[in-house]
Amino acid sequence: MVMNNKDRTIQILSSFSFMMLIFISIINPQNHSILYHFFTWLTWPTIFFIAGYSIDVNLKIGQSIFLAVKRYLVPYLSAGLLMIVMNKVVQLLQLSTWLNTPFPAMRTGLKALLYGNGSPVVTIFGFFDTGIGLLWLLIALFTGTLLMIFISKIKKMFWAVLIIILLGRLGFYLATFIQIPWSLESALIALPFMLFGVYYQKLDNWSAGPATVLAALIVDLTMSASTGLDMIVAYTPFWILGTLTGLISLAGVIVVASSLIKNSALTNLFAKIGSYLSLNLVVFIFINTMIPINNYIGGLLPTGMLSFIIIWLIMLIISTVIKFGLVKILKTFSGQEGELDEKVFK
Amino acid sequence: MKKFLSRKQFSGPTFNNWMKFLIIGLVLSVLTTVVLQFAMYFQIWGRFDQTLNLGQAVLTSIKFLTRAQALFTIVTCLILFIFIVVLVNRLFVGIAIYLTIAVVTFIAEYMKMKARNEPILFSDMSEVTAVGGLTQMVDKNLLMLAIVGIVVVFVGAGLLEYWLHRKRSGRFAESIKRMMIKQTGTRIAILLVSFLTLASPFIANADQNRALLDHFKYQWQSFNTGEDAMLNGPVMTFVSNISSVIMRQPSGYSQKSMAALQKKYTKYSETLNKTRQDNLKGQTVAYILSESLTDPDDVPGLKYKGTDVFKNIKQIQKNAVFSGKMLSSGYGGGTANIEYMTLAGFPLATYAPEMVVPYTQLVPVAHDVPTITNLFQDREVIHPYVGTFYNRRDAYKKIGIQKFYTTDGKQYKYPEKYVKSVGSKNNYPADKYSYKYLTKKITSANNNQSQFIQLMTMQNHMPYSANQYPDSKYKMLEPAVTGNTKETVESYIAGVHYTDVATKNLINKLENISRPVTLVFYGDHWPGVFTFVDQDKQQERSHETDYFIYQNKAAREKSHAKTDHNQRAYASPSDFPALALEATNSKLTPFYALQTKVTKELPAFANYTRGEFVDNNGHTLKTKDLTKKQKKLLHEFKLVQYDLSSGKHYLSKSFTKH
Repeated sequence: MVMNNKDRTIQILSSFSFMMLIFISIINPQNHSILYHFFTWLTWPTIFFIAGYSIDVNLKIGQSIFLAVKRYLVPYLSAGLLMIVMNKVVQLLQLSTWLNTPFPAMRTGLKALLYGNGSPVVTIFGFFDTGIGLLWLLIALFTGTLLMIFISKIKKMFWAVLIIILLGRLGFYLATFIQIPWSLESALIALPFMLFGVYYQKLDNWSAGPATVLAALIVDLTMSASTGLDMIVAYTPFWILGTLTGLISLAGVIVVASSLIKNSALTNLFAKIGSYLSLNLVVFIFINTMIPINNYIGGLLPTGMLSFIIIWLIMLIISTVIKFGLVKILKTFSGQEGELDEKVFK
Repeated sequence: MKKFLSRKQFSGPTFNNWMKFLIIGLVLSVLTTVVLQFAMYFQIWGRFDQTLNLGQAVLTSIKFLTRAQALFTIVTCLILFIFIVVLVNRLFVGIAIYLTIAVVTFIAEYMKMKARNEPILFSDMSEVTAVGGLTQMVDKNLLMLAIVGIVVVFVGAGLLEYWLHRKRSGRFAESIKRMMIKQTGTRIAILLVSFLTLASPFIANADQNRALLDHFKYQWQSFNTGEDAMLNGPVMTFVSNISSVIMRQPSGYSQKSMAALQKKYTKYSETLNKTRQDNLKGQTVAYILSESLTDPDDVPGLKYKGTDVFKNIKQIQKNAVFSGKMLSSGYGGGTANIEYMTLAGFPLATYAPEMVVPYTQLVPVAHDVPTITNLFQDREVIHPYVGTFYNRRDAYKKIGIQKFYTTDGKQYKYPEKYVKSVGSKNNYPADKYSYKYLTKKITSANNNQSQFIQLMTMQNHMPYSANQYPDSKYKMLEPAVTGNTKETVESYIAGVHYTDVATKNLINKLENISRPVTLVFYGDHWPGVFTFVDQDKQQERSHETDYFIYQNKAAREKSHAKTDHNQRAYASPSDFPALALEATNSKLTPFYALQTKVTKELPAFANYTRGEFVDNNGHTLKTKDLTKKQKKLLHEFKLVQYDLSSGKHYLSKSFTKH
């Protein structure tokens, strides 16, 4: 299978985003706020950018929706249900020393899964004190993709941009007082990054270079000093600035990723890590939510940079290994043979 | 139109060149933010993080970048940079202009902070025309350094531009040129957007401005613009002061209605003036704002061991022209607001709720600020402390105070010999010494001149601590309290005792001098030490302080005023100008005639809330409880207040001036 440079860039971006997601999930935001903020400006836009890039604008709407269901909704529901069941088992067997119990009861877990809120929020039914955790990302990717499937059909770029600005504003506005189902606000504010992804597919020539990386670094650092992009509740104090920061930071990451494709060894490694992004996400989110690796390592190593790096590496390795195991199983069941390909989405 | 748009494709630098432009702009903006913050922190005053340690000041300024407020300054500077460069369409010349503006702003901020611990406010823009005078105030070395720096920057920019535009320019020069926008339409669009963004705080109203600043986590420091700038950055403080809601327009406000009011109160003043004398010449009206003074006997539940701590003031109140309780707007603070009401005669309760510090929000921008001080030839204020709080220096200038004596004053310094304390050495200057300076000022006044003098004491200002007065025998008996409340209350009571004795001695001294003196004395607000008092249940009580208007023998003989000291048993601070003029039996302008009518016919404004009054028996009334006549008077009063503060100034000068 011949892959063009942009596909290679996306593979590297996918691995970047996955590694950064692990990073911001395990770092303590209170103790390392600037570092945490810095990576939020990179991670979320990159993930949604990849989701935008993966939309095939040539497909019919029905086919695109089917793909979105397969990529995001099925993994979301499967992982969510598994977590709820496992949560119950841990409660019954009193294994909470070894495994996390994110939901007080199956019912609340199910409610959170159906509503799709990441953290305790004010929902349209009132305050709900249980969230589905990092799994919100998959449902936001799903709703964002659904919206983008329709927006990408708009022929005039101007109208697409205008609609995205309006929807983004709506998302930021709604998030100030309520969270609507299926993390829709997060999806709304992520649309500019997704549109960038759609647009990137069609881009023949992009002049971004080292200055873009430096600008991204300065912009990101300037914003990170005081605030980050809190996608789970669709919050940033300054929505225009926030969106621009996300886009510029994203541009910087894209330039870095595209410059790495010259190195085939690195590209291959990143391609492996970044393949099957939604599986990557599901596996990592499941591990991160259910297994308190911090506690295991914390008992063995003193807290600090070393233990942080070890936890990060363990998370990365376990998630990648399990992902490939799952891929192998799924391929065996579906009767597919041969080498594992390295596409971001399969 | 469609044809036109299809022909006019907006084009500009490539994405990477935009990013280069952004890098330069952002680096300069971040540096400007740090440097401006450095101007706030590298100061001698010692407030918050202020220090003269260069390294520490630099570090604190860099640390400011972690505050959300810093983003506001960064973004503002970035937009300014974009505007300038796109306007001149020459990168290095644009940078030079930007740097010049940044340097001038830094010097102005640094020098104003150094002089007053206040940043540049919007009201200071009126002084921009006095560049000559301002440069004389700037440190000569700093000024020379800045001029040399600016010249070097411009020469450098000129040389770089020349090098860029040589016939055979290199790759770097070409890349710089590619950063510039060649198409006029694109330039105009960017200029318009950036200009409108920069101008928006000047066009928007106060609410919109505050909403914008709140996005950047603005933390308003209502009492101190210096501290506001330290927390939010001087650019944010500047923007926050551009516009403010002073008062919302009362119904029926029009040129016609104001003309009718002018006529009505001119006539009313003429009626009142039939029995009044034009006699302020050779007289003194002295205001004493006694910091945090209240009678401890009025504090619910408080019992203490020791002699009556307030007995002398109570006695003076009995013999005063007017005396009673004053309804303060503050609790534990807000001195300048009460002070403003006593001078201007306008209650805080009738302004917009957003207008909480008249000295910073109203006085600098008001068309006219008529105060009682305007009726006098000599106008002085004494404050045995620093004068930087509440924008007083600027506000006093606007209301015509000629001399403001403070411990940090350069031109008018509060003399060292009166900066003495009683009790512990660390206490604030004692009232008895402040009174001595006040007496000296009164006795040395010119016999042919009228004199207004105000003393704002410091002795009983917070904080209160154990052993402030080691010789004190006052002991708190009830209620049982926890922590160090007992010690702080005991220290406060001891301080009140010293004020009580000093005030008695002052009155004795004034009584015997030949110059007619009318003394308006009041405690500005309760101290914040009575933590056992439930403020919700004791709202009125916890905002009541004592006041009296006393006249010495010479003044009594001159004025022949016939008053009952209980005539205004509950008074708003805004009643004081009218009451003082009634005591001196002075002729009234239509403005003071209206205020006099208010003191006679309306219950006192309860300034701690809105829409409430307290009658002479201490009963709280709501606006709806007022009679029809009283409601009409209140409405007329509001119309005048609105016209003079934020309306269209339909009232002519003769309304407020003789």
